[in-house]
Amino acid sequence: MDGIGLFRLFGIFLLLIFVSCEGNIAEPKLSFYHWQSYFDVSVEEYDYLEKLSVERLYVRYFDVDFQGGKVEAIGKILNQNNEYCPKEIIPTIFITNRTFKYLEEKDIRDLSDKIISLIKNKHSDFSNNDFNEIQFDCDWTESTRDKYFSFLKLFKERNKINLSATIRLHQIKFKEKTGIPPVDRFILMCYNTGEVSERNEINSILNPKIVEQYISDISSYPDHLELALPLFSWAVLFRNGKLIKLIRNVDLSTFDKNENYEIIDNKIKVINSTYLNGYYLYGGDELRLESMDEEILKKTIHVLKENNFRPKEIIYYHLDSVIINQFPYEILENINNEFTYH
Amino acid sequence: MKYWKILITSLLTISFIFLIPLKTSLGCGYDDDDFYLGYRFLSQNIMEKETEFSPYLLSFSDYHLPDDEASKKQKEANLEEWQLASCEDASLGDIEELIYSSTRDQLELLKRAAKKGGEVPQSWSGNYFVRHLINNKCYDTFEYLHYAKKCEPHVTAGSSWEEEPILDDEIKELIELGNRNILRTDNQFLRMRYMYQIVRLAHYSDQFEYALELYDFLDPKVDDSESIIKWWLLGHKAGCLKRLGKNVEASYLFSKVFKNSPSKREQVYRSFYIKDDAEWKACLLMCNSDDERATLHALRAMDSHADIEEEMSQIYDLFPASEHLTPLLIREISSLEETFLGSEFRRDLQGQKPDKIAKNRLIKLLDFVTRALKDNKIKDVPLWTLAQGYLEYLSRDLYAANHTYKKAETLVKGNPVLEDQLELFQLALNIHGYTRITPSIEEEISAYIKKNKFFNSVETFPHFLFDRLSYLYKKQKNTGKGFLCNFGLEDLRVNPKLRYINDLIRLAERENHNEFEEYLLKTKLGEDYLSELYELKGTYHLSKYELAEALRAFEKVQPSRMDDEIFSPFLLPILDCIHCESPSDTTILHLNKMELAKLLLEYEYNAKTDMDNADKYYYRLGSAFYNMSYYGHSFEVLDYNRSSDSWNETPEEHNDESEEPNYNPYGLAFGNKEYTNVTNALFFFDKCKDLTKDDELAARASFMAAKCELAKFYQDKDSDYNYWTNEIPKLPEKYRNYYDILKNKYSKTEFYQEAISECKFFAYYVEKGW
Repeated sequence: MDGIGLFRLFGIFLLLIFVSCEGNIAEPKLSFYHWQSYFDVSVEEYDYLEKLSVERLYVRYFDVDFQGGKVEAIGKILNQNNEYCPKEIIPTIFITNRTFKYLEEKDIRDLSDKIISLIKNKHSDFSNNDFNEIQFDCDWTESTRDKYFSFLKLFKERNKINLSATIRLHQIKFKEKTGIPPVDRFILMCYNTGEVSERNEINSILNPKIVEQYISDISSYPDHLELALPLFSWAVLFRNGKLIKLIRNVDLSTFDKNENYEIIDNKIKVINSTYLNGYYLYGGDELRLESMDEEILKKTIHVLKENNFRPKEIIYYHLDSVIINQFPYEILENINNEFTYH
Repeated sequence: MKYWKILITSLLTISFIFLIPLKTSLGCGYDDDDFYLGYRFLSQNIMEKETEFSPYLLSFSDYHLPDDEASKKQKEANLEEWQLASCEDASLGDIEELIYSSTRDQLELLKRAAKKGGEVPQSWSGNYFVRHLINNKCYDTFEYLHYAKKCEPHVTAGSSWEEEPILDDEIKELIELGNRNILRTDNQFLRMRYMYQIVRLAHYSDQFEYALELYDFLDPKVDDSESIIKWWLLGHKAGCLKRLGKNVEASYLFSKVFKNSPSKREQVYRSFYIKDDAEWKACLLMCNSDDERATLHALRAMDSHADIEEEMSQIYDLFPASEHLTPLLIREISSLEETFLGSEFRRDLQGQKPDKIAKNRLIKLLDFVTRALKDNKIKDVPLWTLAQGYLEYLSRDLYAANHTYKKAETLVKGNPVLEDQLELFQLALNIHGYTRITPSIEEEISAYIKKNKFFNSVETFPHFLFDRLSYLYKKQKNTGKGFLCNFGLEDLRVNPKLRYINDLIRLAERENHNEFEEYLLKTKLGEDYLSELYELKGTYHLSKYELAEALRAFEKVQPSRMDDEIFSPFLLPILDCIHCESPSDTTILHLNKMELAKLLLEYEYNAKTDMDNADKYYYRLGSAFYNMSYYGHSFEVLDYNRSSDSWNETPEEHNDESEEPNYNPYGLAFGNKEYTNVTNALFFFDKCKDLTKDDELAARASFMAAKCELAKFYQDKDSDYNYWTNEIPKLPEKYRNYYDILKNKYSKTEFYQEAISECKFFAYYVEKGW
């Protein structure tokens, strides 16, 4: 067989692969955020990640905030146990919008250097592998956009590294106004869609109908737009009609058959003053339980698919032993199947 | 407007959090534009232990003591203790220099000098404290300070951007050294400090169990129960227990630190953590006294959203003499004061009443205070009596409040802070007691403004006073005075209301003003208030095309005031140029408002009587009324504040004479009116076009009438055209009558060609059609 014959044979082989794959599955990869103060992935959490073939963990290393007239690194993660650690860690940094509000243009370079230095320092605690990307999470506004984007550009130039940035729903819909950050990948944070402080809100974490209102033009967003979905739940505490606090990691079983509470529809009334996850509730307080379930997530995916959104990666917020008990890995597999495209 | 609101909100928040005192001006009356969130009469300095409790009053979950401030407080407490223990004659500055500013090398030198009892090194000879220590051979002290300096890098926070490596060997050596040194000194003051350094080193190097072992080992060897360091040490023990998951023990110890160490209170509040009811019960069981149990409730009450009444009630039931009750009482009254004080006349509330929840809180607190006073078990009876009176006043029981204040008069005697507070409360009660403003009350108010110490020192007092007066004047149908209590000339100028102007003129023209009336008129309308009012009245009539009335009003204005502003409203360029300066051409008329009104009146008469020239008079009238509108260069004849922000508010909405002022303290009384109505101008241009036999003039008049139609289109609520884009609009048929006339009837005129070359809109219409 001559070279041309071999080439033809290879071509037929490729075609066969293509034909046999047509109508086959291309599932988004699953990843998780790790948003804790201590890094200590348990065996159970590690198994869970393994079952879902999760290779990548986005670990919040620290936050950046403007405090006391200075830009500070706060809430730095502490490594308690990195025995169970997925293959790839993406350092993730949350920067408050007010940081860019007060930061002067001339100080952007200094901030960029400080951040990379601290990331490297922190990363050496976790892993011997280099990191291939850094993710920035900042809910920028029109007034801070220029400085945030300058920062991203400079950070990338100086460190020659891939960057990703989180994008809120409104930043998709109003991209002309809010701009598109100069990064390599974008992560659409598909949560916090409602008005948490509204007493009549049903579920402020994720409402597919609200999502729909923001994504009609999502396909025009630049490539490499991935998806972040919520798995968390919380109880929204109202006292005297006003939002007081979000109490995390609670579910209906906390209140069911508990004499301190009375459940009325989706509201929970505090009958006797009591502690809930470290917060003291007074008689008369009201709680609204907001949680995620398979149905809401699937509906959201349906809405996203209908608007031709095809992410290659879904990042769940976030890895936590309570959350993985509420969402056995099979559920996430089912949800992921919804996003399978042919 | 949106950003303005945001700015205001931000400023409000900032001023609320930091309680920035807003100074009021004595000479010119109070500044009506100051922002406020309710009136505040309760002084935060009412407690004797102000320095210890001040942050406590605000609740720590809202209030974060700056790090510098927190460490300053701790430093001060430490220095005072050094002074007391080592050398009472030394100044705090000298002690601070040695303890906080010396280097390790310097301390080594001083240590040697102290050992020998030798000479004080030259560089320290001016420090009395150092001299005292060396002269008394206080070698142990220098040895300790040298040791503490070595520990410093391991226990103090560096930059948040740097990760300090923990050097286990160095820390181990330092702990061993500390253990050796502690046994070498008999000085209990120093022993306590060694112990603190040792335990802190272990704690901060995450050796929590070891830190606890060290604590237990060293505790019996140290005996300085009076030292504040004892509580700081206990804080470290609690911190270690917390890190080891022993929440209950940790929280109990934190509560002890909270109670005994004011400078550590905020830190402790943030560390105190109770997970559930079982832990709370266990924590209560650990307490050795009801006072300790009460402190647990006080810590819980530090949350800004805590139910203070419930926690106070629990504290009281456990330990009525608890020191925590008074600061909590003051905090709660401050919050209720913000809701209730003068709520029926507070401008920003606009009649909105406190809700049921707030009322219940007030009733509950008043009942509680009354019960506590009756039981006579609380501390600070004079202060609580004042509080009772004030709560009665807030709940509108003025009679009871007066009675309680009378009782308090003897109790507060000798305490200047409480005396002042009572005087202010009584003043508020007196002002609130006015039911009708009479001349004698006006006299009383005038005296307050001139002489009362609170008028200028209590930030919200002037607002309280004038809001109350405004409320009563309004009830008495005294429109003008009521208006002046809250607003001034600017509010009327930007949207004049005749009934207010007339009422104020009546007041201004009345003879024998009393002192208060003169104060109101001069501070709110200006020294020559009558001229200002007539100038405004004339302008109002001019805007309504009531020329004779306008002229009559302008004639009463001082001539010098009238000449302040000069206009040229008859100059009519093809393109509108709002801010163009009028040419200094002597052929162009430059007129003040009175001259203008007179001339317009004359033109109006001539237009009706001189039929040969009526067309020209109508054209001039049209020109003047167009130019005086929002779209013309002489808009300042009518508009004192032309603003695109209020452009969208239609003139009709701003023309309602019966409108009540907007009492929102951050806005104008009636908003800002824009003179966008060009109906009169259109009428005059149309008349000119119909009457004239001159095609050139007819073309000009048609063009100007077309511009009036365009202006009407801009205001059409059904139109989504954005005036600010300056894009060529697609004109609906009803707005293009005069463009059509110009195009179809006068295309042969010179003006037609001029209009096409200068006006892009018109050229486009002619070329492309509609």
